[in-house]
Amino acid sequence: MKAENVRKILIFDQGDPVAIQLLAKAEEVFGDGPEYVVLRARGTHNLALTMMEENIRGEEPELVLIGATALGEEIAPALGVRFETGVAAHCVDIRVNEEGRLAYVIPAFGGRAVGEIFIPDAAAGRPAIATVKPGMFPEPADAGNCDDYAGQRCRIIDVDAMAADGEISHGSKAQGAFRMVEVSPREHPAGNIADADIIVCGGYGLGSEEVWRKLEKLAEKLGGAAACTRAALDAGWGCAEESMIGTSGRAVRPKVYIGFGISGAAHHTCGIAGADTIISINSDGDAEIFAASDYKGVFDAEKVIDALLREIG
Amino acid sequence: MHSPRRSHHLFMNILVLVKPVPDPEREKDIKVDVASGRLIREGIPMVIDPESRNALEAALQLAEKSGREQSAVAVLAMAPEQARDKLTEALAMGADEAYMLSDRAFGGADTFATSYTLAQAVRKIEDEKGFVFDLVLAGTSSSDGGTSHVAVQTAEWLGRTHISNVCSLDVNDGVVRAVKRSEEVMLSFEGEEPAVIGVTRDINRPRFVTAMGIIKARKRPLTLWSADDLEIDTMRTGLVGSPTRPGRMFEPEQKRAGETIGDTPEEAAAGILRIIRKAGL
Repeated sequence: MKAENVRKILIFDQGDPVAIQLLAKAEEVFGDGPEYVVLRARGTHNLALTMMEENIRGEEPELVLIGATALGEEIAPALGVRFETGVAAHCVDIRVNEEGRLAYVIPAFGGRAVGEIFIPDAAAGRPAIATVKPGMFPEPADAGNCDDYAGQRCRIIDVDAMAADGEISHGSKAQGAFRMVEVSPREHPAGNIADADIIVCGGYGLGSEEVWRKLEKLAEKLGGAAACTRAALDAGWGCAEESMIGTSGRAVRPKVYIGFGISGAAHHTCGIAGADTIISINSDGDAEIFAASDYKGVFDAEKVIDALLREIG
Repeated sequence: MHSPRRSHHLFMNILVLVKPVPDPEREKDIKVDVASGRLIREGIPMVIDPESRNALEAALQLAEKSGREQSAVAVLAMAPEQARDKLTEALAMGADEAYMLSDRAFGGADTFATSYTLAQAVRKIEDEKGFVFDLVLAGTSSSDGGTSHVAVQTAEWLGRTHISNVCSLDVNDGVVRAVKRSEEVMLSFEGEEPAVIGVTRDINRPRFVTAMGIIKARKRPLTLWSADDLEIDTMRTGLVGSPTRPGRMFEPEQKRAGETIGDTPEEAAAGILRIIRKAGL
């Protein structure tokens, strides 16, 4: 699909900042050309899916953008089948190539490689669908809250409000379909690392639960958040899954990122590309993470964590 | 002996979608050929995708719970014929039978075409057996493509309810209870069979293959199907049937200066604190 043929863009908003990130990215790529419509829905995916399907039929956008969240990942691929169209999963970029075609840049092999894909036959009634991980695209500095930001720029279809007014039913139409029966809090909501200015991240090279505990303490004393790589999570030191940075976790954009004992697998580094400053400490002088770092120190992670804890007191 | 009353819910028939992938432990050996813009992955052995293993483990546990003698777990993969030994491995883990879809016509399929082909195979297996699988299980996100699409899309083709990113699963009397994580909370869902479930790696620890399992696997059926064996619309399979088209591949550019921060751990610590202060934090 040529970018100039995109006349309407539908963005799914599930009450997460990702909708603003998607809107800002779309504006960067398409400017004032297309009309922007935001569909707001939360809760059980059957309702959100039904409402997205109905509104895509009614609105006929050429492009649909969906945050790759727990809810979004249920909806986007299903819409792909219902509209017999392509879904670009977990885009790290959306851009217009030399020929004016819309290209989606997606990771493969956990971010080891990235590749452009195209959805050539996309059109109104058969829109291209793209999903994006929260935090992958920056939020505009003046964003404020989503209501204000989107309200000034787009038409909003508020499914939640319609459900509250009894205009539509929150119950699922499909017989036997999954319905939500319980919501319980998570121990460590993902918000911790999503909003932190300082992130102290531990990798497998920390070596033990004891050092991980020290790292958590350091993060707290610096007023930042503790995060981990997938290898550290799998080591079972008590890192929280919601604080994992990487392709299967979250992308982050802190002002300062300090990584300890991290080898630098692409799975992880593509989640920190948006950090202002990256500092890495690893005892292996050849660690790949150093190529992606502004500052490096070839030291045992624990020694530097200890020195920092002493210094801060 | 079969009990005449509600025999259906006394045992379970489960199908697991299994994906052979290049060994994710060898990720570093995967390169991109800059000139052609293609991936080079020669010499990297294939393994069963880690989350496919979790899905198979979940199926085996549910089957064991509901009475292993009468319950059955089948596995289905779409892969080149060389990956056949991965299905033998799934049989050795405990699956009762395996189906493999191999055909050049399936090559280059994106998730849309892959899920269509898998769904048509599910229908054929069900037709032959004369029942509908209580559950179809799959990993949510594979280590190679990692789209999180195939479980959901296969469910859509089959017209069944679906849920993915499931970290806890139980079935009682035909009612499926699944827990998934959202960004902020844990969500518990209930639905009814037949359903399609995508699991995550934290749902269980997959069992290892035992010597006894390998011996038993030899006697278990492995059925190989080509495109001609399935009722398919070839405009929906393989590269032709894929609405997405791949362009160039490249290695992500993430070059930064890599300036040395100090000659001792103490100097490094002081340097880190300087950088934090300079950032106004």
